[in-house]
Amino acid sequence: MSKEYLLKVKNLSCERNYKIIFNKLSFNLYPRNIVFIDGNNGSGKTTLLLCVSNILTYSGEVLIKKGIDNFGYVGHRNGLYDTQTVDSFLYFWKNIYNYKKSYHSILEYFNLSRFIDVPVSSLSFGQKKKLSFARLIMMKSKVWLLDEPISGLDKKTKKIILKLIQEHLSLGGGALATSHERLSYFDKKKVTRVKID
Amino acid sequence: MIKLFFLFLLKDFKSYLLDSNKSWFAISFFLLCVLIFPLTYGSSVDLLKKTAIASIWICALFSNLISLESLFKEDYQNGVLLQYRINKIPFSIIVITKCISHWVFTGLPIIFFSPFFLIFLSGSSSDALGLFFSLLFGTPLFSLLGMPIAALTLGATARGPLLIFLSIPFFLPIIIFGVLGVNSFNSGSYSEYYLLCAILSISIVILPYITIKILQESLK
Repeated sequence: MSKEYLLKVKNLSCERNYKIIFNKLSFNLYPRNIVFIDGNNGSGKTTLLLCVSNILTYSGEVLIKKGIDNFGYVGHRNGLYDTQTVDSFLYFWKNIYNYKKSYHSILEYFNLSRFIDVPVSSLSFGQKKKLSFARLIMMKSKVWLLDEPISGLDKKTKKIILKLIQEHLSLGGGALATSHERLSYFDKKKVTRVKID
Repeated sequence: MIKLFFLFLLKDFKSYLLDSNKSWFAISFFLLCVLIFPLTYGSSVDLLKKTAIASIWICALFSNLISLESLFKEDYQNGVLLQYRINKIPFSIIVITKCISHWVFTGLPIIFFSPFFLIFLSGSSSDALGLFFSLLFGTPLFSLLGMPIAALTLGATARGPLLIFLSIPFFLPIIIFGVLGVNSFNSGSYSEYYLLCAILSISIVILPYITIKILQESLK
């Protein structure tokens, strides 16, 4: 494939506490494509995402397309402060990412407008997940790293999140996701599956 | 960078004001300790007078130890620290703003109220200025020295006790110099103040850097 990649992973291996987590994984992430990392619990899916984002030490190569200097990340832990209100949370990250537009349209997209003055601690699991995706939108990163983005969510929220990922892909972005749910939502040609044993 | 610094500082200030566990608890604990000291001495006012400065320093130490537990805890547990790291937000900003806000909400109120508490504990009013300056140089050291230890104990199951046992040996010289400094202040000897200033200067340069390294390692 001669297409220009967003992310190229070559012979990636990771060892933690003298235990090999995964060995010589190779895959490419192209624009408009999604890579699904599949594996059992504890197989090292999250570790792989942390290796790609250069948090953990690894051997092998992770090549990132020139111009991409940041990854968007949504993990198990949502990265929200309980004492912040939805408004102050979005205001804080809007300023960090220099997001020029208003974040109210994002709130409307996620049906969170009526919770604008509510503290994060009072939100449900799904609402917190939506909020972390709202931050992802403001970041405007080409590559999204998603750690189990739809697990534990209801059907409606799952659909909203999957639609958002689809929109991100259609705009030329790419996503690396650890999930084995709903592969059928995406066009098969756009999906690469990486299995970790 | 400056915009980011003020953004984080504002966020931390708000967090300290809204979260009762963070600042109000530490100050309340300080007040409670200061109120308990005179009760334990009974009618021996002389003893109370002699130990007034040391009592205030000990109360300041305890309240600081208590507030250290919340330092970086929420950021680490909620995954915000990981988010900052992946988003390449400089940890130097996070550490410096955390240290400033910790001192502003746990050290600064103690400094300003200490002269009143000195009089409350039957201390000599001539020591008030000396105590003010010794706390001014000493309490930032509590925050600075506590930072790397708080970062080091992130993820530990018995974090609270561990934090206290690890911090106290480092805090002891500060208390010793602080109390001795006040005693010799009126005689015109400021050597302990110079020593505290020297430790503070070195700590400002070195300890945030060490904290940054520990925080980065804690995510691995």
